Amino acid sequence: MPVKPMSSSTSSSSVDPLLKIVLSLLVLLVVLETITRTVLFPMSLDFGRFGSYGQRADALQSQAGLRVAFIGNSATEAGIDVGVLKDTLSTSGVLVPNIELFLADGSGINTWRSMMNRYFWQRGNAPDLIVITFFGPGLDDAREFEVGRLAQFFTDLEDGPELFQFDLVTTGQRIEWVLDSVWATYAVRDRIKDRVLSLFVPNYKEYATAMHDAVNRDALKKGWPRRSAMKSHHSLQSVLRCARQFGSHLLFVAYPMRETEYTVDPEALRLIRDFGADYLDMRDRIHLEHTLYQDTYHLTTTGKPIYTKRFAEVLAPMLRTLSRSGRLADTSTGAAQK
Amino acid sequence: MNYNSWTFWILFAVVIAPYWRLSHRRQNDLLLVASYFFYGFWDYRFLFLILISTSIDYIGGLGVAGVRLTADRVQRLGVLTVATAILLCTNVRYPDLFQGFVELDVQRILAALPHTLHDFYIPIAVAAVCLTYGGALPWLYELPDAARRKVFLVISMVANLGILGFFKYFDFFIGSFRTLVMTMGLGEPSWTALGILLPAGISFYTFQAMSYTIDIYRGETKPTQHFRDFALFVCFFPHLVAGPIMRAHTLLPQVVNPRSLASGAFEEGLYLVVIGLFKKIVIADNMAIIANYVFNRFQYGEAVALTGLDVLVGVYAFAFQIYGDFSGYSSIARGISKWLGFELIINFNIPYLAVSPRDFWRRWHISLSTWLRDYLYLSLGGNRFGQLMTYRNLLITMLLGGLWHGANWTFVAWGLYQGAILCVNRLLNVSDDIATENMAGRAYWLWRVFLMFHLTCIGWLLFRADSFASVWQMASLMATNLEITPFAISSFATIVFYVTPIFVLEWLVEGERRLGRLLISNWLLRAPVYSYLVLMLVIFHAGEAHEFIYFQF
Repeated sequence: MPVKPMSSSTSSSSVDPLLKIVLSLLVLLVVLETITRTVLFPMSLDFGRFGSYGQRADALQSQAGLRVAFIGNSATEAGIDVGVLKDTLSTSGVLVPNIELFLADGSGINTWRSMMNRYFWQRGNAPDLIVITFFGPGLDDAREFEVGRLAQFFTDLEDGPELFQFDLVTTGQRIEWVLDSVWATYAVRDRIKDRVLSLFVPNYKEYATAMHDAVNRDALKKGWPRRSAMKSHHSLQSVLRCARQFGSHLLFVAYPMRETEYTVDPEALRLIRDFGADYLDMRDRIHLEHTLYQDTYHLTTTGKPIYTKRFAEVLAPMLRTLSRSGRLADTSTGAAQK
Repeated sequence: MNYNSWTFWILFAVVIAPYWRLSHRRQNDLLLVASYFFYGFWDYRFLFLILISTSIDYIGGLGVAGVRLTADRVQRLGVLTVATAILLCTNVRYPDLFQGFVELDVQRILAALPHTLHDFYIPIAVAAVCLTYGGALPWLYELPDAARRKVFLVISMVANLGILGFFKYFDFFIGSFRTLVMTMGLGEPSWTALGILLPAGISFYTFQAMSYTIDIYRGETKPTQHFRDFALFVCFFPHLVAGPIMRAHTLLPQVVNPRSLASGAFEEGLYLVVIGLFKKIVIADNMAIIANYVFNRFQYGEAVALTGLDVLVGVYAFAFQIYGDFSGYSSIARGISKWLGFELIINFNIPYLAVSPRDFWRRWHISLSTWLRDYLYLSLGGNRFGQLMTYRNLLITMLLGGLWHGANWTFVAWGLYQGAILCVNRLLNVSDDIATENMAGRAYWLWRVFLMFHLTCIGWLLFRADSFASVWQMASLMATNLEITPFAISSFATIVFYVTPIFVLEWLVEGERRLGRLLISNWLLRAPVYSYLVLMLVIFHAGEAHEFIYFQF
């Protein structure tokens, strides 16, 4: 039976040009990788922010007084005004001098766990209070999330085994994460895509935002996307366990969305309770008009201080109680003492 | 497991690594195992359907040709079929069973096994059919030649269409009948849809298996006695779930005879795979975002803010989505087949450059259109019995072609629409040969392409919309309100950004027909093409991977 090995059937005259093509493509990819790392990374506000999280976590740790870290996604960014928060708490007699935000767009508990591992626990940082703002099934393990960002900014190759066990459960995700870890262009391709398209497509930013919101709304109509039918809470348990081990108090905040009802999984609530963390359902505490939202999740600049103020008013008595019980540092202000 | 998933490429690497070092027979065995693994990855239970189709057409083909199977081989085939039914269709919970064995937990093992008679209904029914058919075979072989050929052909057709009809159309017709009964005020029927899962690609492999028996009946091909070769012909994984639909006389000899990797086949395959991935991941998935946005607004009753121009752009996006999706799949299938030493037919030939409906169907899903022409249109009489009968045959063929695409009245309407424009095309008898030497000729050609593209888009509106109400709303808007909006401008620019370069490239190489032109050109010319395709693949894929549309057909 004549059997032809693959290489033998390709004549040398056709191999050489193909090799040249492959080499030229590799050169192009290397150039692009260099540009991504040296030009694009410094240009991106997000990447700059992610890169600074370690130092900011260290700085927060070194401060005196109550240290509060907010973990969340863009809804937290559009919902929490640190200045308003501090002022309102202060007016309520609670002094919170150190607040730092650790946010990543579109993230959920899997990404937050990695962020906390990297910026808090692995560096020996333990904020007194960590406020985790979520919506929908944000506390349930996700089956799909932004792997590129996770690989480039929030995890290292040594995190692989844990990620593979709970977060990156499909072969595709695992390969993607390894590639993303070593290949920055591939990891941040969406940002490059946005930058290029904004050159070609008129009104690209507004257009992309509107489309993104519509895609999310359509996905919500079919049920929450990117979740497996079988709920699990490995990441939540890991976060709760680490926080208890390192002495950080956790507060989970259910965030009010526009026109979207959601139920927090009872199992997640049970875990939060069992680990001694706190849960605050802001949906019961504030009614926000539709006009105060930019889209399904994000508040407008008018809505932001309104939500923050109300959140601070609800938070203040909680902080006082925690402080009195000795679970948090003293939060009383001079004004309050007067 | 899709071509746009890493899992597929791992499977392919596992297959190709030893492939060219194996003998021809071992190559076939490897491909057969890989094909079943590939298909079973969706839902292993559907492997049983493929095996049933394979067995029926294997026996049918031999029966039509008058080749007797020995009693021993019939028995082995029967045992294989019943054993497969027991393994795959008795609700064994394999993960639990595996875990039970790992933990040596007898209770868990027993709990994972079937334990009611209900679990064994399918194997019992299969055993009864096997015994009856096996018992009847000697008698069938004794029939007169013409009767025997007809009987085996009919058994094959009934079985194949029965399986296809049950899995694809049963729920659809039950639902439609319920609606009809309720509309007529006859109360709500007690029977309901069964919620049957649609096996991926069932229409593709059923049509391919059927064509084998028909071709033998027509004397156009000879049957194979080698069951595993025939099984590979039916389930060859590169084209299993979305075509091209291959004919026995084209594919079977490639399975039966030793293969070699022709000179240049590697690069040709590489180009086809890269361009196929590009069409799927870059074009189809990005176009899907725009198309879904527009069509979903009507599905969810949120279309108040849209203008007719927005809708038109959404329909354009869907036109390029479905082209990128389906022709991309066909390209990848052809590319990886080339690496395995197989040659699959070209399934698309720049269809949006068609100048008439007839020309369009010579360029779009060529393997289906020729299948429908050869096995349905010609069987109905083709154009042999006058104009009226020709129109009737065209309409029936395209209507069934529409229904082949999916169990929904909008697909039926799409098929009828395609039949209608083919009839009009025939009635007008306008030539498709357009001289483009001078400016006037080129302008006329451009006008015909423009017109045909928009006729095709009307069809896509029917094809993609969720209901006739949406079709009506969208069409009304397009007819009455062509106000230019920022959405239309941005979407149109996005479409142009993604689609234009690839259409220029396709125009230059005439689809895949003149691929050689590109592949023998100077490497300095080829390098930018590959670089563009790869860079776009790396950076411009849509965030979310979408399944190939045609998997559902």
